[in-house]
Amino acid sequence: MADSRLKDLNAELGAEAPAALSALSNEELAQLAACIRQAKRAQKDQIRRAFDSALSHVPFLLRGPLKKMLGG
Amino acid sequence: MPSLAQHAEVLKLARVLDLPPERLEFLEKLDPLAIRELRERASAALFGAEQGTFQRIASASKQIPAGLSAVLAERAFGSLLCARLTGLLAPDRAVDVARRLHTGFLADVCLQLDPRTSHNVLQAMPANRIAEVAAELANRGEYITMGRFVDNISDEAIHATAEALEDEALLRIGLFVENDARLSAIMHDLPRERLQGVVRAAVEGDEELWQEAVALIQRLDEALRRRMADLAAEMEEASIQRMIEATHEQDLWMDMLGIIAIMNPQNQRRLVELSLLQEEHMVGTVLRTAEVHDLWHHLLPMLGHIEDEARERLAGIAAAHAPAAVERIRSGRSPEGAGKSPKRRGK
Repeated sequence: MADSRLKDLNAELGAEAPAALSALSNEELAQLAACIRQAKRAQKDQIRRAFDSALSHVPFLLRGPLKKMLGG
Repeated sequence: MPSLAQHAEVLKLARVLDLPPERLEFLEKLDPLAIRELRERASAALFGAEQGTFQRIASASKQIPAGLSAVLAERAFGSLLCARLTGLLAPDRAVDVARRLHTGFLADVCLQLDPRTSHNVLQAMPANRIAEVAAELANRGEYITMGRFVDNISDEAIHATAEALEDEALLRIGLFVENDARLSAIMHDLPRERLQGVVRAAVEGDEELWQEAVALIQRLDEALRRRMADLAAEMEEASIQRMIEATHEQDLWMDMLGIIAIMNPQNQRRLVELSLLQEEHMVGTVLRTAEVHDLWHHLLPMLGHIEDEARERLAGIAAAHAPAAVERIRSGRSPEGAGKSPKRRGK
């Protein structure tokens, strides 16, 4: 069980978690993986929103250069 | 109870994950280094996402004048995207854009920046610009963020920043500097009056600040520990009393005995005369601490500074609080083997 929790955490990190984290309980490992998952999702949403904002809220004259920068 | 180092690492991780620190409190039982490693991996996972898109933007931005890039950065991209882009820009280009951005916006960017991946940009940034942003971050109380940057900015920028900040801010940033050798090197370069100001800020600050300052002193190299210890002993009498009271109230005698032990003999004498012998309950606690933690090698040399009458009074207090210490105090000798391997409290 602990192994599968650790695997979930490793998957979220995209790397092996530090060995000392084996001192955490199953619940704590799951909680940590959930925190990292949430942070990744929140960041992804934030970036998407920032891109959308970049395209829709800048003055007309700036849209061309901005689209160029975003590769659009 | 977690140590300051454990708590600080959890705060830094919470900042990276943009979560309230309470959600990660269960990590405070781990070794601080393990929490730091976890933060580095979490940071890499977050900053690695959508790297291709950011790389494309960074490349495309080369074709746009720096002035326009600065306008786009503040009006369109915002601090998060700029933080992600910073490490991907050529340092000269990043500096050119940064000098056109508002200081407050750059401070926002710093909160979300990974200093390690932006090392080259930070090294290239003019010292005065860094100092301006640091002053803004200090105004906001963002000491954790500032501590993370110390390893990645130039010595010149460190000096400019130190000049721009109050003594208390220097202390609070120092608590979060990650590299002890770098921390010592920076503090060695500070003039005596700034170090004195840092010690005074620790003593005159809120209750927790002295405790944190004591922990900070333990991380410094030996020469600097001695210097800080002597500066503490050279403060005016009221500050010394306050320092001793704070040490007593926060149960810091174990660490403080080590600090007093490295003061020069004149300062030790001053401290003993001004404070240690004034309050019986305090003396009792000091003696018990020396007994329980095997710190007689720290304490006995200091007793050489007191007169026989005072020594006898001390022995009397010891009889009530630490009976095994009576003979040691009277003879002024450390028992055989004592102090060769002092027990340390886990921090």
